[in-house]
Amino acid sequence: MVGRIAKVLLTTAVMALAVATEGSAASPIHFSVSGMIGGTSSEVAATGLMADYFAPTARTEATRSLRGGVECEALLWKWLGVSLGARYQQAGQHTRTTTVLYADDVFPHEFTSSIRMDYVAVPLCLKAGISAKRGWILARAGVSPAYLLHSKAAWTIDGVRVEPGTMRMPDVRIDTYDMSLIVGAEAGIRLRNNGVFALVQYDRGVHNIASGLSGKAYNRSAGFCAGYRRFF
Amino acid sequence: MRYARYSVIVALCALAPAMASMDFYSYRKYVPWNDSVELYAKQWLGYSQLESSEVTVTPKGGYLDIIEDAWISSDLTQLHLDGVTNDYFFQGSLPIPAKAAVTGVQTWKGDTLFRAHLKPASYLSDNRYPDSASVHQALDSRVILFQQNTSSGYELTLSRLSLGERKHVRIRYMLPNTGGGSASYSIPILFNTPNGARPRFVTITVRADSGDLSYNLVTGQGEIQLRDSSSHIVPYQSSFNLLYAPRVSSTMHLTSFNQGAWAGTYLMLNTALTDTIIARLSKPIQTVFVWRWNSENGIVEYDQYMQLKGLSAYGYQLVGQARAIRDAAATLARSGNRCALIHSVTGRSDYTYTSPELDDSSQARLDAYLAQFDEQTLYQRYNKTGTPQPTWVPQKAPGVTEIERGRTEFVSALSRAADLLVDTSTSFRHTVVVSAGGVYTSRPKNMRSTVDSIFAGLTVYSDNAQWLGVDVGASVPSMYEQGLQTWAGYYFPSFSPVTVQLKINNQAQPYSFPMSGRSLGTLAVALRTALDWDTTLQWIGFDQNGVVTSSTTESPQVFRTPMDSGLAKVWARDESHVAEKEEVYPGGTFGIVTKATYLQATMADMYFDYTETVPFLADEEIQAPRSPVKRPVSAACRQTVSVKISGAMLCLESSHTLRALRVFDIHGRLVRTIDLRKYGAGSGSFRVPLSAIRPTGASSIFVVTIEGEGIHQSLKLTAGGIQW
Repeated sequence: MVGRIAKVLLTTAVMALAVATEGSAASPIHFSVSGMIGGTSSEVAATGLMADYFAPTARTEATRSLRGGVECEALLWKWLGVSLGARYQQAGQHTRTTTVLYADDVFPHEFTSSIRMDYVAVPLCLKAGISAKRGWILARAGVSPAYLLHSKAAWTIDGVRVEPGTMRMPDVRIDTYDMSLIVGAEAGIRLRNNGVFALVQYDRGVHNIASGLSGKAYNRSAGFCAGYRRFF
Repeated sequence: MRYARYSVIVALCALAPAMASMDFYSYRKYVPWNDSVELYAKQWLGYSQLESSEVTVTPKGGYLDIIEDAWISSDLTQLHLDGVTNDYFFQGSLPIPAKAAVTGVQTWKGDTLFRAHLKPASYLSDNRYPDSASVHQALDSRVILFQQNTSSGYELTLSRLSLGERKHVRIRYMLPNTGGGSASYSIPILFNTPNGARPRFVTITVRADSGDLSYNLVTGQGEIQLRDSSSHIVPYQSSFNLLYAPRVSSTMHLTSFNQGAWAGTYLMLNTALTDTIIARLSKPIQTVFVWRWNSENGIVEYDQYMQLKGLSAYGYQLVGQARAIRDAAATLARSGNRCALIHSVTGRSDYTYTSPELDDSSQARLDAYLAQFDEQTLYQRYNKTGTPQPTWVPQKAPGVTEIERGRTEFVSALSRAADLLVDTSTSFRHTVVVSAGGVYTSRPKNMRSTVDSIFAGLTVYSDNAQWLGVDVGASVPSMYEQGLQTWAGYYFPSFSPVTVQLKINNQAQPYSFPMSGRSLGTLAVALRTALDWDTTLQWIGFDQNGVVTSSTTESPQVFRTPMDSGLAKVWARDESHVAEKEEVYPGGTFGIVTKATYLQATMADMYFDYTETVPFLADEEIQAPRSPVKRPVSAACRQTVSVKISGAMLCLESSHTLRALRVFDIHGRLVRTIDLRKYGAGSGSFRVPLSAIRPTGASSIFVVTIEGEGIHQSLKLTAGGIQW
């Protein structure tokens, strides 16, 4: 499914590039490079025992973190373009301190949990919208393959760190790769060859990121970025 | 490796006696590898085959008189062996039942009967012999050889066989009742060999009657009641059972002998501490069990590694508690006490089950309800309740609302229990609180005042119960505070005797047998005293402080047989018998096989007159071994006189007093008497001149007798000296 979407997007981009190149005299391609930074709120949507792992209690909250990256854009026409970027982003979620019980233990315990995953993503987007001389408004959709840099799961019971693979914490392996679908929108102001813009984007993971328990887990994140764009 | 093989062989040999195997042997000539001298060693040739078996049982009351006839032949397995002699014999172990007293063995060679005699035990080795004559001689002494080697190991040897001979052997033993009054005997087919063929049928003859000695015969084909003497030909089986038909809890078998080594009054007592006795020694009690489930989840769990669903530890705890409550309630009901049940599950405001009232039928309803909580039913009921979560998944702690609800359920359940215990006519009213699973321990409340108000005048026991929001340990009075004692796995008021004493009166003194009131059991004991026994049993109950709670009497079934030698033999065989005067040689005195006596028939022990009167036993007895009476003997002391000729003097020396010499000629005529007092030469020494002894004109040969205290010794004097 993900591969098919990526294939469609790439095919569309190449065809658009070919059309643009063919009619370059009337409609030249405008390239630009942008850098952006912002924040994101992420969580993990899971099923089965994976849901108990990523959200052990009802007081589980999304993780807020920084994200940022660079992006190259080719505007084929004033209303259509493609972009390819590289982006650092965090994912995961955490549980606030909660009084819990265990089935084999009648004594109450103070419990916290957090899981954090650091990715480098390469979003490939198709953009469409309005691009004028003084600014632009574009909607984007695409795919974002990501590579896991680091992951860390930390559970504490009564303030004591619990090791994975023990009777109080299962051993779950986070997959090295992830794949998300992207939808978002950006709006910018252009001054000659420079521009600033704001971007909102929602990433919906389509690849099961964890194994070791029954059920599946997918990343979800929504982010906001502000950026600078240089037009060539 | 070689030693390991030997150890396995030794282990198998150690197990062999329990398997009751008779094998077929001979002797074989061989030359040891480190020697050149020929030896004859025992050679295994094959198995024995039981061709026919007849068991005749004569019930006597406290024991069975059993005669087993067997016809066995040999299965020759070892063929083509060189040097085998024509001396064949059977040898193997017999599964004589424990405490059975073997009184005789006999066999036939053609029409000649060989009857074994009892002899003091001696160590007999039959492994190898230096020559064939020794082999013949040894086997001639083993026509029958039956000995007890260990407490339960018996060995039988039958020699002087021919190849393929159908050997008839008869063995007789007394089998005592080792249980309560309802006797149950297991009678083995002694020659049931694990190897070799077996007969199609076995004939069982029981001399029962329709009165006191009626029995039920239990075979593989079912159970039949025997009302008269009859023979039953049943398909072959290795053992069968005889059950005493009359339903009695106690029997007494009495006999007495006025004289002889076995003089005394013998008693075989078989009784049992039954629910009836316990009920008669107990005070009435009413009990309500409160069974609390602290969770309805987690009864079935999923093993992720095995990929299997099954009952969890909590589920098994529920099953175990249901069984324990059923058992306790059933035990209470057997004693005539009523009991009821309240089943409470957390989160359910109503009771899952409660006995409508405490009456005679409430125990049956309780039992029917708890019977459904077995492993299979619980699994089927809770299998579909979703996959149980693993223990690492945190659970939400109960809030204030749930805790308050738990306390309400606690008070409600106990109040319901108190409502059921309204009959104040019983001595004790008791509640047992049992819970399964753990509870959230935060904020437990001490509800002692509430519990005290509910259970005013009643007793309550918490079996380490847990209840959400309640500190049960502090809320329920302790068992020490209420004076409770352990009973049927829980704590109860002292309504049942802790110790029960059985007392039997003898004319000399009463005999008492303390027994635990907590466990029902049987008592079988053989006693011998000089005076008669009272035929009434007295049962006395004691509480944990040793105070008499109650007493009752029982009239057992009495078998009284004058001069019943079998009962005396059974008493003698029982190492745990009770006696005013103990026997040191019961085997020989009472004519039974023990480790100190064995039965042996040699080629000389032939009998042609079957009606020979046998002492001690009745005429129909097959064997009356007259044991050699062991008498103390003083140490051998040969009283001798030292005699020598020194010069012309006859010198005599003795530690005994010598009085005279009498001199006889060669025709036996007394020719002279010499008073030795005249010739004293010190303490015990005499010097007699030969001239004083030798008569004038006597021949050169004459006889002299030396006489003294305990001395009468002769010597012959010749011209050449002395000849004794």
